[in-house]
This record gives sequence, structure tokens and C-alpha cells, in this order.
Amino acid sequence: MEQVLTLDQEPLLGPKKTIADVNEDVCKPMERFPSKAWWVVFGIAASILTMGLGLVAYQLHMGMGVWGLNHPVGWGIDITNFVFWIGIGHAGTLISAILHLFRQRWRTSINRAAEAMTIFAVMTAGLFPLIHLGRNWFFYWLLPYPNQRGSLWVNFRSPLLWDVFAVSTYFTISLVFWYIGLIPDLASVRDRAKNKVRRLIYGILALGWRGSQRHWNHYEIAYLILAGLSTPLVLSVHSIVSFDFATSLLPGWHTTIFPPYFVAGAIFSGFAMVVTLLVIVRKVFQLEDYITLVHLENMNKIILVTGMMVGYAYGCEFFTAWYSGNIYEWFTFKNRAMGPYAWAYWTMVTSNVIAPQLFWSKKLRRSIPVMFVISLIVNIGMWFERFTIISTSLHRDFLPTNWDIYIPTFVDWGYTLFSFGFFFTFFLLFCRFLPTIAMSEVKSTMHVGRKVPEGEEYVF
Amino acid sequence: MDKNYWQSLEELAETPELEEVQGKEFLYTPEELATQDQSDEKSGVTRREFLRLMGAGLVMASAAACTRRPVEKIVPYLNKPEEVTLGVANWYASTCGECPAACGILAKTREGRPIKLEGNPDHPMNKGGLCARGQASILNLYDPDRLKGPLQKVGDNWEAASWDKVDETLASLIKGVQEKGGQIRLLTGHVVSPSTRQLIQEFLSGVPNAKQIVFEPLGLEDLMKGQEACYGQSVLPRYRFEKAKMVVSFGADFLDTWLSPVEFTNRFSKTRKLAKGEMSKFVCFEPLLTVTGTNADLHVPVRPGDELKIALSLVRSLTTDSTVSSVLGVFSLEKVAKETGIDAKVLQEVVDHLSKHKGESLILGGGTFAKGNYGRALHIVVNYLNTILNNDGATLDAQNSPSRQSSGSVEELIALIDEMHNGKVDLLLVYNTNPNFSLPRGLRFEEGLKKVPVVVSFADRVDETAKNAHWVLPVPHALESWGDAEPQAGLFSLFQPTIAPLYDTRSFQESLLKWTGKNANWHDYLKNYWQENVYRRAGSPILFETFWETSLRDGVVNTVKGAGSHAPRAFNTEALLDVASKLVYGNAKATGIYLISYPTIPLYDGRHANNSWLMELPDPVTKITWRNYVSLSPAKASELHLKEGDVLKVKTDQHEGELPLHIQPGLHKDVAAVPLGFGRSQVGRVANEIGVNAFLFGSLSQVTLAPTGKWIKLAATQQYHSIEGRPIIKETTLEEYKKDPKAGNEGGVPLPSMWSGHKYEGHRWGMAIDLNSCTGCSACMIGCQAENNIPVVGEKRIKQGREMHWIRIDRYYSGEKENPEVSHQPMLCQHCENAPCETVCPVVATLHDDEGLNVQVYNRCVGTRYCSNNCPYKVRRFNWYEYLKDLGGPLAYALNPDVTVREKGVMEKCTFCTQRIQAGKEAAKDLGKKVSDGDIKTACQQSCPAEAIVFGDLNDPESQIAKLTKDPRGYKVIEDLNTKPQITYLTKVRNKE
Repeated sequence: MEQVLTLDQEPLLGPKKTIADVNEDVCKPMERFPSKAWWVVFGIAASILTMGLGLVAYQLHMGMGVWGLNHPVGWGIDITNFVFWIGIGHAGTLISAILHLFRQRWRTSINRAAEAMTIFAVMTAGLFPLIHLGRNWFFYWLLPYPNQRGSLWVNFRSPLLWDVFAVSTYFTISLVFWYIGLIPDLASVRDRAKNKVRRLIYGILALGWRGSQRHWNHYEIAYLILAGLSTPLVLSVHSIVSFDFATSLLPGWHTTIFPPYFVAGAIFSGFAMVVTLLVIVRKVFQLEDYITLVHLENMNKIILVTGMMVGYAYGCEFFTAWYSGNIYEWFTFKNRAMGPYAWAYWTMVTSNVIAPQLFWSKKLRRSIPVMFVISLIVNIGMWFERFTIISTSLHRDFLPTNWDIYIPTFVDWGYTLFSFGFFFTFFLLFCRFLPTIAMSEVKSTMHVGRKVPEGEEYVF
Repeated sequence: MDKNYWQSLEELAETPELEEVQGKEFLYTPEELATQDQSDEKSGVTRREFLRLMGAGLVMASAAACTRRPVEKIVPYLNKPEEVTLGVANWYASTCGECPAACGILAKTREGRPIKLEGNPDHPMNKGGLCARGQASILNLYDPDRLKGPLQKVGDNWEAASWDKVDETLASLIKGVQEKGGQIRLLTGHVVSPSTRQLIQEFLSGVPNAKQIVFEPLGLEDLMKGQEACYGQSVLPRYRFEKAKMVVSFGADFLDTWLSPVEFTNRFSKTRKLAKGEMSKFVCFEPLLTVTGTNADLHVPVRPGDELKIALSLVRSLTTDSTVSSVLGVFSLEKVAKETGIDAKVLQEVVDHLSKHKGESLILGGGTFAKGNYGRALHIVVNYLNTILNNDGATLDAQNSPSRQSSGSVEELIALIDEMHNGKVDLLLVYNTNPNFSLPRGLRFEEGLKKVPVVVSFADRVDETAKNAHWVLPVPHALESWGDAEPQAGLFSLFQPTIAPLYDTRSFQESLLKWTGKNANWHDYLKNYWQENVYRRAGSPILFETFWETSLRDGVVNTVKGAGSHAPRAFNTEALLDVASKLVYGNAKATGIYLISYPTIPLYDGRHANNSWLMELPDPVTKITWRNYVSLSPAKASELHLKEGDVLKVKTDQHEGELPLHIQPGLHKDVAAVPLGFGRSQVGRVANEIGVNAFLFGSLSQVTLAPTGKWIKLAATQQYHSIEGRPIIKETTLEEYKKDPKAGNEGGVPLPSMWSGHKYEGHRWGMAIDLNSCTGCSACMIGCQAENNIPVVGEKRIKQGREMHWIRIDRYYSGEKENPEVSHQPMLCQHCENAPCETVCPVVATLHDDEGLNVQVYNRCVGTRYCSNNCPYKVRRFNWYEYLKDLGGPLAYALNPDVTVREKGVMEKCTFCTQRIQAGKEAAKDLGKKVSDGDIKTACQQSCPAEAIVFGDLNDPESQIAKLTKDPRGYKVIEDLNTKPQITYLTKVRNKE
């Protein structure tokens, strides 16, 4: 069937899906014994997670010296990973909250998984500030709570402290938002449960949801309020993370463009990660009818736009460095593009600015293999963006006598791997135990009860 | 009659209640307490409450028991020694035993343990300064590799021996040798102690055929021979740099290790302070780049062997003696300039300056390459120059109080080796020298040593020479022993023990006294010597005992009269003519590369290489730690297509070894330079088998360099050497400075601020560092390390960029690539007013105090490293590991108890020696006065021989620091960042055209 469809017109779901099908399809993976593929992937992720715990023990015993960090480069892959994962954690709330406020109905199929990704990504990100502390066991000193250590209090002037607030607030709101959204679906799962234990657990989680009009009414209001609360957070978290750098005086960090630049980058990488994950999830859990090309294409469009915003930021930074006449700043940028880390810089530019340009072609942005590869490239590119910003600025700063090179050790890379193991362990558990698609919301996009026109295969 | 003793008024009143209670330990037994009736309101503890408390107590007790804490005891002195107060340092004046220069020191002891050495401010030589090696020698005292007692070789093994056995055996051995008319030889290093010299003479005179041979690997024998040839007097002059307005050195590294470097640094720097707008000019002709060369206003790299021609060309232009000028006819400036590849204008400039500064210039010759006949010839020409420029007796003193800091004869040593080979030596005593390490193999010392029936070595370890001995008799460290020194004629100083010997050691002198059958101990002998010699010379009106006590307290007795000027000596022109006639002018240039092995500040000749502070001290020029290397000029390296770190096979006719390449600007193209002191095999766990022993290559030989294909990363603490046009070093020329003292220090527009700044009611500490007098000698780095318990991290960690020094010397090159100008810049925490580190710490572990210090609270630090990232000077140091945890054994005694030992994961940095500030304030308070300028000195300032660092109270308008801060030369490093450092640097002024 050939027809030109606009965004509104193109069906969001695959053909011939009834409301019952939605529950059936989404809950099926949760109710059967996990497939071999799941076990294999979960096994790998959990092993990496375990290895990472070994690294933590090793580092606690030996000291931060097991990292490749050194004297000028006090932060390297540790904070790179932190910013990277915080960035990843941006798409979820953006999709759920902002797109909800803008009534973008296509978000319904992807918001659940994207929000889960957000939660787990923020959890992963949160590990790194803890890991990177020299005396990790005193991490709680960063929290302002009444204590018995005399008048000691945290330093409210430190952007690192703002981070603590920004990230923990973001995490809390995202978690609550996600959980509220889950309640009707949890009730569905409860109702489908075939044994007592299952019924009990999901029953507790569903908080007694019965689907009454009153419930729906409260639910919708709460959801809307939380969406409103989350929206500024999407912008604030990464702005504040960028303050870690922007408020310092290091050339390459001390830049006013950082907040919008970081937010754009975060949305960019977040969407790329959602595409990567959903391409896999829809295949593994046979959800192609729910997460359709429409969703993926929309996300690719956002990737294209934010990619260009990021590209603009790169150019703008360079221009500012040159135009300001600041010798330190200009040196840092020349050093980025031509110094020992030039490979990282050009990896970043190629992956983030050039690769997404392929999405101008409709054919390419609707091609699953192409978008999968590009989303991976963007993820890699965004990781290198953070690496470039952090390491190349630090390794050659003001006094040339301090200049040195940062060579990551197996620990640095091991922790990076660990972060993926940590993230995927949680994500895979999520796929097993919670509905990966917001069933109740998807149903709202279905035009149930409409007559199927002649020759038309969609349920309208 | 019994007196009525009473405990209290109640007892006196003898109330019945009291009688009942008296003698009981508890007023109520616990049982009584527990069973007391609930209704007993007065008791305060009900049964229920008791049970509740018991329960809570049980929980708390079991929770507390979960962490096992080691039992720690704080045991005060049972019998407190007189003079020792816990927590209060005792200072003892003594003498540094690290090199023959014998500077005066003050040893700081805490609870009976020496913890830091500082220069003795009353010593006329070093005046409070002390070099890096001198300060680091405290570690040698606590070196765990020292011998714990005497050893005897049985078969191929060492066995512990008792001193009684040693005395018994050796006394009879000596007697046996005496009776059969055998030969006893005593091989020593330079003996700076006059009483020991006398003792040795007494010992030797009792034995027929006995002889002392002195060997100093870096001795200045040729200088003395040159003096003898010219003036008929074998003497080491005392150089008076403070009088010299023009200094020309042909390779004499007088700021590194030559003769008396601390004294020379102090005197030389006095002429660089721009007092009255004047400063000296220093021209250095040398084949390599030493610290001395980096401080020259004009550094001219010369091919080894060309120094003599250059010196002769100066003679030719300056002499008024027609005989001399006719003999030297060929040595015109132009010709020599052409032949040596030096710009004739440069030589002319030197000649002009010298002729302008007659009687106030100083010409020096020396260096490890100027040895033997060549060295002697160079010294003769140098002497002639000094004579015709009227310097003899003016800027150098050869009669009043000449130096006694070197002696020795290579000829005699070679004769000794011959004797040993011929089996003529029956007993060899070796003291304070290690020829088996510091002689090239070609001299076959070791083989000779093996032929001597009995070799007794006085060493603190089984070193390379002692390894072949039959007895090793450990001598105590200088800080454990009595002794004296006469570094300059008439200038006496004392060694006094600051700690009881840690091990079963006995001084060399004590042994000699024992074996000669004298019934005196060394202390009495020494005292006696002083009574008969020093006391008399001093002509002191006080009793000897009082004199002795005073001398011990002061550490030094100066019997020199007069300032040191004397009438010029008559010069034997024949000597010069002889040199000129023997030198064939215009001989075909030898091709190839010369290898120069040279001593460095950290290791000198390697005698005390087993010292981790010194091994980790970056060489002040190359900034490389932990190993030696072969340096080539950039031009040569690119000609040979070599890069930094390439491992080369270095081969001379004497020896071959593998060394990594270091590319060093300032070297002559035909020179390969290798630092001495490395390559020890028998020194201990720190320095064994590190690097190559450069003594083995011979002093100046043709070398071939072949790449091995291997590459290693050199552990350099600095890898970039240009200031990149940034306002880090500010410099000008003397001419510009005279026109405008602010020359080179332009710019610095005051940046506006919306904040009023910190308020300082009391003190406000600040520092000024004079870049013009800092020589880069790095004494401050070791001073800081000793004061502040700074850990050593090792070569691997240095390569990772994790050195821990709180103060470092940044060394920058500018100008020509092949022969750059050098600037040294001590860099430490700048204690900024607007400190970037302070705002970013999330836990307020670093903050500003009310005296202007940027303080670091170790206990609060969680280790985010954000402060370090945000520090533009990168002077903060992070504890990547628990560095001092494994500092077991005696080394832990060297820690300063006033300074916290930092845990892993904590940031640390320069504190401006906050503990010394505190001590200074307390001392002032005890005296009931205000802290006055100069009372408080930071460790770096105290150790600086050049007095380039000044610390003090900026709120005191009369203080030196307040004045220096306002000096037109004063600037802050990268001040455009508006960090407002408390440290002011004074511009470097070069005396050049």
C-alpha cells in the first residue's frame, strides 16, 4: 500500500493490533522463561559488573594511583564517564516530560524504555564521582546534613556541590516520574499474574490501582505536574554539570557557551543511546509493531538537529578562542586540534558533526542498520567529546613546565567497561521484570473501534 | 609526737557518717545500687533504668568491640634527660660531612633524633645556606643499608666480628708488619679535619715505611699544581666572588660542586642583587651546560681543548709583557675565534670588560675535563690572567686564608697501585674513599687490591672497594661522631654527635688510637688538639673549657685575621711561556665526539648515592631523575637521527655501556656528557645498578655512540622548556634596567574587582623570590622535603607525572635553540588572594586563613582533585598511594613530628611552613615581644645559599618582604588571571649587550 503520510497520519503502531494484543505482546517477555539470548547478554553484563566491583576493591586498597591520572590531569576517564552517562540520561526525561507537554503522541512507545535508560544512566554516572574520590569512604562529607564535626559544612560555592544537588534531584524526580507512569501497567501485570507471589509483588508495586475514573483523573494530573517539574531539570542538570568546567579558570573549560552546548550534546547522545537500545529491544522482544520506524525516524531527526547544534558549538568555541586574543585559550584549542590528543578531537568531530549528516536522507534515516551504526558512532563521538574537553584542557594549561600526558591504564578502561556492565545489568533486569512499553499510553494512541477502510490493513 | 594529719574538714570534725565511709573504695557497691528500692527516689537510678542502661551499654560495648584497635602506648621519658623537652627541638651546631667543602650546619633534633639539617648562619663560609646533598645527608644517617657492626671475611663470606676481636687481630697484624719491616699504606679521601691529619701522622710515624695516599675523585690537584708552577706555592686559593664584578670561568662549575659551591653561590649571588643598580657580569666558557653555565650572562659552548686557546687569546689581548705577547703572537682574538667557531665580538667584549675591571674580576679554570697536563696548563694561563688583571690577592686569597677543601695526588695513587701489583703492600687501610668505584678499570686498582694480604676498609657499608677487603669496620655517620674541620686555613669547625650511634660503629680515629696503643679516646684527643692548636691560635682570653663549650655551641671558630686581601704574588712567567711553547697552534682538529663525565648537584661523585631524596631530586639542568644518561646537543642528535630516550651504546677506549639519550641545548656539538655518581653496585637498595658508572669512561675520551634500537622514557619532571610567550618569566638587560627599573615588567594593568578582598588584622605572610640570584641549585627542594615529610615516589611514578615536591624549580630556555638563555624559577603554592582552588573544593578542605595563607586541611580533604585542576600553577600534589606507610626501619625517625604524614587520597601542597610560622610566633610570645622581621624563615628560604627567597609579614611596612613586594622589578606569575598571588617574583636581569 503506497500513500503519503504526514506525522499525524502515519500510523504509530504496526498493523492489526488490538488492545488485547498490546498487553499480550508487551507482557509476554516478562511472563515466559527468559530466552537464551537474554541469559547470555545478562551473563556478560553481570560478569563485567562483578569485575568492576573487583576494581573498586583494588582501588580502595591501593589508592587512586591505580588510575592513569597524574599531576596536571587530575580528572580523566573518570569524569569523562560521569558526564557521558549524565548526558545519556537526558533523553528519557526529555521524551517523557517535554514531549508529553508538547503532546507528541509518538513518544508513547518509547518513553518507558527511555526513562528506564535515564534512571540507570544517572545511577551509572553517579558512581564515578564516588569512585574518583581519593578517600571514597568519606563521600558523605559532600552532603550538607547536620553533623557532629563541629562547624564543618559543605562549600556552597563549589560547582561540585551543585552537581550533587542537581544530579540527585534529577534522579529523584526521574525515578518518581517513571514510577508514576508505571502504575497502570503494573496493575495490568498484576492482573495477568498466574501465581501468588507474582501477584503480591506487582500488587504492592501497583499501589492498589483499579483503573477507576478517579484513579485516572489523579494519575493524569500527577503525571502532568511531574512532567512540568522535570522539564526544567532536563535543562538544569547538564547546565550544572557544565559549570564544573565553565566556572573554573582553565582554558578550554572556562567558557560561557558550555551550558547550552552541554545540554544539546546531552540530548544528542541521549537520543543516540535510545536508538541503539530500542533497535535491539524491539528485535529481541519482538516489539517491532510498537516501536516502529516512525519512532526511530523521529528520533533520528532530533539527532540530526542536535548534532548540528553541537557542531555549531565546536565551531563557536574555536572562533571565540581565536577572536578573544587570549593566548592560553587559543593555545588550548590549537592543541586540541593538533596536539597529542588530536586523534580524540577529530574522532569527536567526525562522529558528532559529520556522521549524523547522513540523516538528511530519508532512506538512510529509516534504515535500521544505518541508524544503528550511526547511533553507535554518535555515542562514541560524544564520549570523546567529554574526553577531549576534560583531558586536553588539563594536560597543557598555563605553565609549560606542568605539561604532561595522560595515559589511561587498564583501570581507567576497566571502569569504563564496568559502567556499561552496570548499566546493562540494570537495563536487562528492567526488560525482564517491567513492561518495556507504556501499555496504557500506547493504547491511547490506538483508534479503537474505527472501521477498517477497504483495502486498509491498519486498525483505525 | 604524732601530728594530726587530716584529709578533709569532715574528717577533722570526725562525723560518724564519714567514719563509716572512710577506707571504702565505693560508696555503694554495684549490687547495692542495682537492688536499691525503686521507691528510693534519691538514688536516681531505678531498677528499670539500670537495666535499660545495661542493655544500651551492652550494645555499645559490642559495637565498639567490632573494630579491633591496636594497643598503643604513649610512654614519656621515665627519666627525662636534661635539656630534652618533649615537643621542643634542640639544635646542635656541627659540620656537614657530605663533601670536602665542610660547611657549618645546625642539626635540629627532636626527642633525641636528628630530623633536619640547616646551614649554620654564623659560619662565615655558607652563612646559613646548605646544598641539597648536605640537607639530604640526614637520610644517610638513617639509611637501613648501613653496616650494623664490623665484618670479617672468612673464605668468601662475611662474618660478624666483635670490636675486641678486630682490635686484637689488627693490633697484632700491624705489629707483625712492623716487625718484619713491611709496608703499610693508608688510602684516604681528602681529610678536612686537622686533628685527624695529626693523628694520621702520629699513627704513620710509629710505623716505618708507612705512608698516606690521598685520593679524591674530583680533587683539584691540577689547580694546585698550576699554582705551584706559577707562584711556587701549592695552594688552593679562596675565591672571593663578592668582590668580583667580572667573572670568567673556563669550565669551573663553582655553583655546582666545585670546591665550595655553597659559599660561592652565596658570594656570587651578592653581586647579582642589583644593589645600587649594579651587578656582576659572568662569562662561562664550557663544553657542556652546568648549573653554573645556566647562570652565566654569556654562556659559550666550547669544544673541549679549546679553552686553553681562548684563555691564551685573552692573555694576548690583555698582557703588557712584550715577551709574552710575542710568544703568543698567533693567538690573536680573530684567529682563535675563527678556529674555535666563536664570534670574535664575544671575545672582544670579554677583553673589554676585563680590562675595565682590573682588580675586581676573577678568572677560573677547572671542570672534570681539565685534568692532567692540559688542566695544569689551563690553570697556568688562568693564573697569569688573574695576575695581570691584579686579581691575585684581591679577588682571590692564596695567603691569608686559603682553601683546604681538596687534596690528593693521582701520581701517588698510581704508584700505590703499582706497589700493590708488585706485592709490596702488606697492609692497606682504606678510609673515606672508594677508588674501585671512581677509577677507570684501566688502572687495574681492583686487581692490585686483591694482591694485598690484608685490606681493612673503614666504610659504613660494604662498598665497591670494601667488597675486596678482609675487614670492614663501620664508621659512624657525621651526625653520630666527634670531629673537626678546617675548610679554610684558620677557620675551624666542630662535629658533634647529635644522636648515640645507631649501630655498633666506631670512628676511624678511635681505631687508629686503639691500634697505636694510645690510651686516649678520640673525643679527648680532639679536645686536646683544640686546646693546643685552635685555642692558642684564637688567643682567647677565656678558659679552655669555656672556649670549648662556646665553640661547640657556635660550631665554628674563626681565627682568620683581616679580610683576605694580600699583596700580589710574583708570577713565574716561565711557566706561561712553557705552556705557550708546547701548544702547537693550528693543529689539525681532532674529529669525533668527546665524552665528558661530570658531577651533578644531586649526586656529586656518587659517594652517598643511596639516598632516595637525592635520586629523586631532578637534575637542575636536565630535570631528569633516578638515572643517568648521555647528553648530546640538538644539532648532533639530529645529525645522528637520534631522539630523546633512544638507548645508545656508549663506547670509549676504557669502557662501554648503554645509556639513554638526552638532548640538551647548550652543549657543544662535539660533546657527549654523562653525569657521574650513578652505576653504584654496592651502595644499597636505593641506588644499586641504576645507570652507568661514568667514571669508567675516563675523564675526556673520544667516544662512539651506536643506537641499540631500544628506547626508554626518561623520568623527567619537566618536558617543555619554553614559556610560550606567557608572562611567566620576566627579564631584561642591565642596560634597560638602568634606564628604567621596571624594564621587562611592563603591563600588569590592575584588574577591577567588585569584592573588597580579605582583611588581615595581624600578620599577612608573603614571599619574594629573586629570579636574578636564584641559581637553580635545588637546595630548597630538599629543605622542603626534609621539613615537610614529603614522600619519594620512585622512577615509575615520576614517569607518570606524580612527583610530590611542594617546591620545584622550573627551568626555561629562551633564545637560540643550540645555546639558549636559561631561567630558573622556584615554583610553589602562590597562596593567592583570589585562590581558584578555594572556591571549587566541595568540602572546604582548602581555605584562606586570616594571615593570608591558603591552608589545606588534610583531615577534611576527600580527594576530588578539583583544586589541582583549577590551580593555574599546578603546585598541588595528590597522594595517589599511601606513600609513607611502608617507611619502616630507621627512616621513619627522619620524619618531622610537627608535620602531618598525609594519607592516601589527600591533596597536599606548600603551607609556607605553617609549623615554622607557629613556632616563630610561640618563640616571640615566650620572649614577650612581637614577631620581628626575619624571625620566621620558611625551610626553602632558610636553605637558599643565594638568599633568593625572602619571607615575611607584608603588614609590617619595615619588613624586607614589604619593600621587595613594592620593588619595580616585582611581578606575579600570570597576573592577568587576577589570582593575586602572595609571592612576588623579581625580574631576571641579564648583564649583556
